[in-house]
Amino acid sequence: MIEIKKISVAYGDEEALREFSLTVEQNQTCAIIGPSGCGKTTLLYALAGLLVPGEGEILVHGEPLHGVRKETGIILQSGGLLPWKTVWKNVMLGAKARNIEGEAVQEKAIELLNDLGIIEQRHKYPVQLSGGQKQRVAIARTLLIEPDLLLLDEASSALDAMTKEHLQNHILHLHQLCPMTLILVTHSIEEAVFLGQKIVVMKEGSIIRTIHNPHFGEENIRSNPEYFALCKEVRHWLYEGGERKS
Amino acid sequence: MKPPGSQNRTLYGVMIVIALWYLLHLAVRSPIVPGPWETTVTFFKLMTGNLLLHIGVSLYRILVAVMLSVIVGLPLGIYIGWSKRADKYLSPVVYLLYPIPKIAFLPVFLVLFGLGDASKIILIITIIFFQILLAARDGIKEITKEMVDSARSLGLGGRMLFFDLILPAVMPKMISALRISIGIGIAALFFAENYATRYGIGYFIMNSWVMVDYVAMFAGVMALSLLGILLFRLLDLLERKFCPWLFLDNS
Ligand SMILES: Nc1ncnc2c1ncn2[C@@H]1O[C@H](COP(=O)(O)OP(=O)(O)OP(=O)(O)O)[C@@H](O)[C@H]1O
Ligand SMILES: [Mg+2]
Repeated sequence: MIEIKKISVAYGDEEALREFSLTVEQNQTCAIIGPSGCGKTTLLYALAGLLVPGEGEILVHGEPLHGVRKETGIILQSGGLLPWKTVWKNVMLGAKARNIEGEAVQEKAIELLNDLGIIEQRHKYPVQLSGGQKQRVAIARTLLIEPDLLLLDEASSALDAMTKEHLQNHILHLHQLCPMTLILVTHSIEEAVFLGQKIVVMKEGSIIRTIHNPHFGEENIRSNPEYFALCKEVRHWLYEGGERKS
Repeated sequence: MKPPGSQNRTLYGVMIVIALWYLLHLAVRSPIVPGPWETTVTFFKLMTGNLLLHIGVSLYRILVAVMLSVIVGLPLGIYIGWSKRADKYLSPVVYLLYPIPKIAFLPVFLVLFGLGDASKIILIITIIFFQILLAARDGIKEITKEMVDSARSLGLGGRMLFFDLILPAVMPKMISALRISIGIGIAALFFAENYATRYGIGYFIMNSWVMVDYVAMFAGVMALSLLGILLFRLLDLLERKFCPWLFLDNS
């Protein structure tokens, strides 16, 4: 279980998160949506332990978070692949840091690359990949370390509609395959409803609405009328949820 | 005409240079510009004798100077690039020292460090050190915040951060800086070897000139040029070995 307790983060005088609280159950998924600059990336950074909140605390499985945690994976807005390493070496980076580059891990990496459809690219360098392929490499790299908490920052925002849905299906599939808590930031209402069991609408550093999604993971949810109803609700809060509630 | 393939490019270049040289030789019609053929013959004859020694001494001075500059300049440049604080306090000093024509200080070095190798090596170091340092500093700027953050989140520690993140980021700029440094270093060394030494290719060339042995002088110029080409080739090889991501065909 992830418990965020009244955290505040400021960059200089500018407050990015204001007394932000949120609980995500173990192995649940939570989609965070909100306008640009509302503090979504900041929230993920705090959850990854890359940034220490000025106030409040974060508990992961009941333990207060101090710094980077081994079992937390984060996929950043722009991937952060190392341009001087091949796809394979980028994917193996986390394993190398943990000194577990043995055969078992290599097999797992091959499996992941296969699952994500980028096995043929393994000898290429990041500049030789498309945007979607880069994102998938970043995902493979993070999944290889078997995180129990996966943080995704707009993993699909740079992609075309079809690749985007592919990637969303992949992420959903992965979540069903290996249990983990998934917190994802997105600009897309459809993505939030497709991937979030819990959908959090943010504005200016705080939550304005939390919506539960009972249809999460249903077969063909994208053509389901309830799916559209939920999208409509999220859109409503996103555009008109001026007053702060939670 | 089709552009020559990579294998034949060197040969093509050599042929053009020799042709131009020969034309110059014909045009000048003076012993001060001997022809390519007699120079080459003399070059090989001298290479079995003392020319090899002179070239060896010069190569030694260049390599020691480059190595010492890298050993000090690379870590310091990385430090300045990585730490905002170091950048703030050290960069202004570097900017002030960098454009000073260090070659003018040769007399001072000769007095301070003696007439031997040390003064020459130190002169070259003062000239190329800043190139190396600034290249390392600028290389660090190629590292994005996302790379550092994702590396940290993947659990990369000190050693790996250095070898997998910092060093490769700095490498391409470092090799470019070495290319420039070696060019400048050879020129500076040629100058320095005109003073207070009996060894080195600079001494050999100027001494041949004084002795009015223009063929030997040109053989010396040839040796110096070959030394430069050799070092450049070596850097090309290093670049291909250590920066393979710079040589992708379809990017
Ligand atoms: N390193 C930083 N220094 C100063 N201010 C920052 C920094 N990072 C973010 N901010 C500010 O904090 C606020 C929240 O930024 P954050 O990146 O969390 O937004 P976001 O919701 O992820 O936006 P986007 O959807 O555009 O990615 C913004 O107003 C931004 O200007
Ligand atoms: Mg963001």
